[in-house]
Amino acid sequence: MSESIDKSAERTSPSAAAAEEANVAPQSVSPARQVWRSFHRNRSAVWSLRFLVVIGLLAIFTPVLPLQSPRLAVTELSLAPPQVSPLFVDQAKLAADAAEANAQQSALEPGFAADEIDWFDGALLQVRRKIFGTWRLNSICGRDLLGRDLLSRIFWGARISLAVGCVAALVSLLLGVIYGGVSGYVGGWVDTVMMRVVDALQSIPFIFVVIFLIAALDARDGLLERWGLSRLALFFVVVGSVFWLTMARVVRGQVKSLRQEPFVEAATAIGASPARVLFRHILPHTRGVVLAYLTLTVPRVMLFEAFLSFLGLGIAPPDVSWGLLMQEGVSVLTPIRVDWWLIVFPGIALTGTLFVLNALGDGLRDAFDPHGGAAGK
Amino acid sequence: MIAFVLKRLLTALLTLWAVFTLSFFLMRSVPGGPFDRDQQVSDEIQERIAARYGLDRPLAEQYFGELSRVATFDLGPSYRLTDYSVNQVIVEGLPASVTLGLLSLLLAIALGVPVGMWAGIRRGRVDRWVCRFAVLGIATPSFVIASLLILVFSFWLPILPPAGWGSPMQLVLPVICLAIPLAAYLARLARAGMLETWNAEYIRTAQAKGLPPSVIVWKHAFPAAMLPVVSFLGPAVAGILTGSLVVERLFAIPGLGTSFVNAALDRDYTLAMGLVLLYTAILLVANALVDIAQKLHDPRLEAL
Amino acid sequence: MARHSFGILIAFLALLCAALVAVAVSTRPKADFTFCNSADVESLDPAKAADSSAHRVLNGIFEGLSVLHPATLVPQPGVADNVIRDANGDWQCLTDDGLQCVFHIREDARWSDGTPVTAHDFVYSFRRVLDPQTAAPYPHLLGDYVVNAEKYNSPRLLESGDAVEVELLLADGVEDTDNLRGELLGGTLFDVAEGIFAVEIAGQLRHFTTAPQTSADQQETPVEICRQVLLDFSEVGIRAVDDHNLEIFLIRPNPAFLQVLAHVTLSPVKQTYLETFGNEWTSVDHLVGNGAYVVSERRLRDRMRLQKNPHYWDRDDVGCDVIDALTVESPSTMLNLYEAGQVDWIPSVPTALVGDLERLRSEALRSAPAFSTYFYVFNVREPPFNDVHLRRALCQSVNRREIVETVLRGGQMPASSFVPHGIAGYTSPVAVTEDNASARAELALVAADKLAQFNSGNWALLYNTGDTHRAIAELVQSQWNEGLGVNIGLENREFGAFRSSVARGEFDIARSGWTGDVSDPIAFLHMFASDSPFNDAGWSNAEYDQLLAAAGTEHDAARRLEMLAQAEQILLRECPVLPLYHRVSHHLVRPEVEGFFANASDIHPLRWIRSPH
Repeated sequence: MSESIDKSAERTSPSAAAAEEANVAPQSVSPARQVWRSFHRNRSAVWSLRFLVVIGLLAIFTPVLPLQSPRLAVTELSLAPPQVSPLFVDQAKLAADAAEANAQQSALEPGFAADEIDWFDGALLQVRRKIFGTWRLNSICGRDLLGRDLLSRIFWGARISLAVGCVAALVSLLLGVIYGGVSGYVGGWVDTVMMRVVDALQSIPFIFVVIFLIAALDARDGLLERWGLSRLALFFVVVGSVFWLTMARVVRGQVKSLRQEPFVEAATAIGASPARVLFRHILPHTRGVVLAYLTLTVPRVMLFEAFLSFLGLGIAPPDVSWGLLMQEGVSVLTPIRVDWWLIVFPGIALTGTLFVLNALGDGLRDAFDPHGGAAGK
Repeated sequence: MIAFVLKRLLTALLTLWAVFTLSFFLMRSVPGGPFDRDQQVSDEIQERIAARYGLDRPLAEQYFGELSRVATFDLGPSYRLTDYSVNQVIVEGLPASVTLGLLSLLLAIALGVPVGMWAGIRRGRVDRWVCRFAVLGIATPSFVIASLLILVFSFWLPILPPAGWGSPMQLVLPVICLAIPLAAYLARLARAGMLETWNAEYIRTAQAKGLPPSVIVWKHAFPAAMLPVVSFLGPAVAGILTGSLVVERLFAIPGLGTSFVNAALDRDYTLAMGLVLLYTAILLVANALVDIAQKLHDPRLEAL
Repeated sequence: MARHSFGILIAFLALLCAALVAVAVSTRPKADFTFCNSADVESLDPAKAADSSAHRVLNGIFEGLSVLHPATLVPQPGVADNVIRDANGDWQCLTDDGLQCVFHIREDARWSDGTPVTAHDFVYSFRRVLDPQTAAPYPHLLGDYVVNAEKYNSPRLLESGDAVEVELLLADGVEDTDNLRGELLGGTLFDVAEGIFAVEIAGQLRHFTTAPQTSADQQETPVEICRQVLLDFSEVGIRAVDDHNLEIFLIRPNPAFLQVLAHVTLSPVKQTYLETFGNEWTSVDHLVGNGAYVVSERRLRDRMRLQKNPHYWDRDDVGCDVIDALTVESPSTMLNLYEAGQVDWIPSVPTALVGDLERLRSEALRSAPAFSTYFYVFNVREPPFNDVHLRRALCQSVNRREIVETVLRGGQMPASSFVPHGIAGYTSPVAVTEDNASARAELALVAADKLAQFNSGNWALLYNTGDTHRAIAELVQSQWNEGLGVNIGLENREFGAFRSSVARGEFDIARSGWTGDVSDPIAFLHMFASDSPFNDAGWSNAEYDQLLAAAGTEHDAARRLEMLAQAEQILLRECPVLPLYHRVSHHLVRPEVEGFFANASDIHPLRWIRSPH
């Protein structure tokens, strides 16, 4: 099962950690061009990168695409299968009831409150109105139980799923790099204690931690309200804070071996402060491996989000994520009726994206670390 | 060796204590208690139930009380499954989880390791396709795999039961579901190990000597290539044993996975604590075994 | 060397697996009837069982004084053989004034160990349900009907002059379980102050407290520590006349009490087993019941196997020899098992599929409107939802039919009232209108300051994690948006956090639901009495309380129901609740199974079920 494996893979036994340190040879910090060339030779990684850029752009510019509103429930068309002709429909007609819309609801996208749309999306929606009017793509991926357009939900879901992956990975980066850097640089008993803490944290099954953290921060009188955070932001932080442990280990290993390098000794000799040595001289050299691990963290977070959604602990509606869509899809996969489009299209989106992210991460790691070359370590 | 074992044991105890303390305060800091129910019960009665389990006492008293009880391997009564003690829940659930976990681990090894080695030796197109399938296996959520397998093998070709426990046929689908992502992972590890080993000096020497390929692969390359696989097995065993929440739920398997999620959701403090400690203990033991195995295997690696 | 150790490891694992599979694979014969229980049974102790999965098996293991016929829900003789109507339509067990019941325990009633069931067993079991130490979830089943039962259950109701029993602490070294009682001292309560009970025992005034932390030395008089001080049980209207006659005194005449007696909570339990085995008494080895079946095997998350009880009084008329109750939590897994022919009954179906099942499995799908309402509750403690016009506007702009037909699609009934339909003699006042125009008119009536507050604030509809809850909330949200142009956010919490927020009144609008335990409007209306512990809205209305109180003492059944209808009218007019729909239960049952009836209380006694296997 996915999350247990992810968890286990993350944990490197002390001896493996030692091996990890050993294979970070100084020449792994190769000139950027060499890295790029090495990366370029890996065809699947290059294709993955292109694919990801396209997905990312589509997600960012979703509001400008002629898609129906992801929250517009056309209940008469509940569970309608994919429809290709006509290719375009008039949303205004679909939303006949909603036509008597009102001041507070955003005129640009039915189902969204006016204050839910920030200036960026607002501008994009305006552009869309100029180009397409009220014409929208027909539901070429079918409709869900409430009759909402699946294609548009996949696109809007991409925004959340990718954001969850990226933000959580960034949180893990921040925590992991600082923690691992300090631990590896200071060394001695501080290092031992800090790594034992990581060990202890890694021994707790983290699905448990996440359930409790979500519930703890969820309460109304909790921190959430006071900081004005949305549940989404909370979700980013919680998931990110669970994934930083591997990053900390990796960075520590790198820092430990880099500390012996002549340029570090030189910097120390001319009187640079420890903080300066660590942050200006050592950490920049770890960026290659860190970037590779970051790329691999994103798909794991996304998979984890899907898993939480399956348990009903994921993103809260009306927001939508790919995990939520998959869960809805699985719930109608029964011997009585198979609404295949509800599982196939979100499945392609999620699995495809995870696939390219993994391929890219592997490619990056191989490029930055040609000698270690080991996948999965 | 004795010093090593002792040191390991002490660390393990400290870790268990830290995990206990962390979980204890994490659980108590969460709103809601173990006696909230769908069927509403008045506050007065809830207080009575809480008092019966000593949950009305000061937090410090609860902490030390529970700590001393846990130290004697008594994990206490389950707050929700009132007919059971936590120890009984574990005794009833662990065999199913262990059976399921070990079978899928075996299947994953039998599937993943040879394929990964093959990819590592042959390289080229074989390698690329193996890698792609491996990534696909890792990237598909297990609940999707499970639902698809049920649909295909239980209804379209009705040859396997869709759920349940008690007959060998009922084991097939859940074992496959659990094994797929694991096999994908192992294939990647075995491939990486093989890639590294295949370039080593002694393999080239063996090839130069004209030894048959099967001897080179199995006698010379295999042991070294297995290093990353073995170090991965420790944590994998712990993860897979305590249950694969999704698979157990979808296939209605009487293992610990379901208890795990339910205990956390229901705030069954004692059961959740018991399962967390069990998980930690298994993880620690599995890691220690792997480290010892590696130490015996390759004295150059300085464990610890 | 490594190759060897790896090989050995694999061989060892394979052997271990073989052994485990051998253990896991059982050779037990197939049961006559197999059904899915939706969750693990939390407790087999009838006094403590609160979940529907426990009730599904407990009604086969235990039997109360009366039982309900699953088709009609009319009380039938259970352990008491005089729960029948005579020629005049009067209940034989009730006296003419309807205040006293005399139950005759049938002579051939037996425990599953072969010993006779007596009236004393019932006295013991009923007292145990009422004992605060038991912490039973439903003591009100007796408390609402039986003389002084509520007072026995709640020591805070004690007054000076009451006859009380002081329960001393258990002897040292005795494990503290709620199945044992300490030594009892009878006396008269002199007064209660700060948790210290002054009791006159044998002419002597003694002081008792249950709280060990009160420092005794600060008091002038010595204070003894006791387990609890309760009303003397002889004051409670439950008495064994002899082995076979049980007398119960009611607060007011109420034939619904005979229905209540069929509730699982009021099943008899055997004293000697409870006292001998303590908390272990519900284990498979020690459990003794008086129902049609006994538990022969139980494994968590797997199954509970029931076998026919050879000592049951009506053993020749029990439908199956062996019944298996499988624990299956996921509704889609249940459906898979049914479709694969592995189970004969599943107690719920995925809601999205009800329409398809009605077409494709019409012979197997059994549905019945349940005595249950799904509603939203407003927090009327604080503005702006303390404004009745705002509540009414929100209430009227909901299109319930759309919810029922698109989200639920299971034949649920749109709720036009709070109390579900189907109570003999009671007609709910139709006060819920659905009309966007009048809703907007109501919104215009909202006080200006509250309207401003409402428009500027962020208000949320709170619900707990669950697919249907979410889908309904999303739809209602969009209906409010379309009909009134108001924006209410959604907040999803996992159940524990959800309940604690609602209980503390920290919400704006929250999802709720209620299922009545007897088919009487009071089961619903009492929920919103000012002093009700379930009044999440914080709503209070003097006239409403008065009507409920008056109905409580009204002897004339028709007039009583009329008062209750008036009370409901007030509730619907003031709108602290927004009723959405009445639940419908759906079961898939193999067509050849006999004795299974879908009914409003959703009870399905196992003893009636006959399987052709």
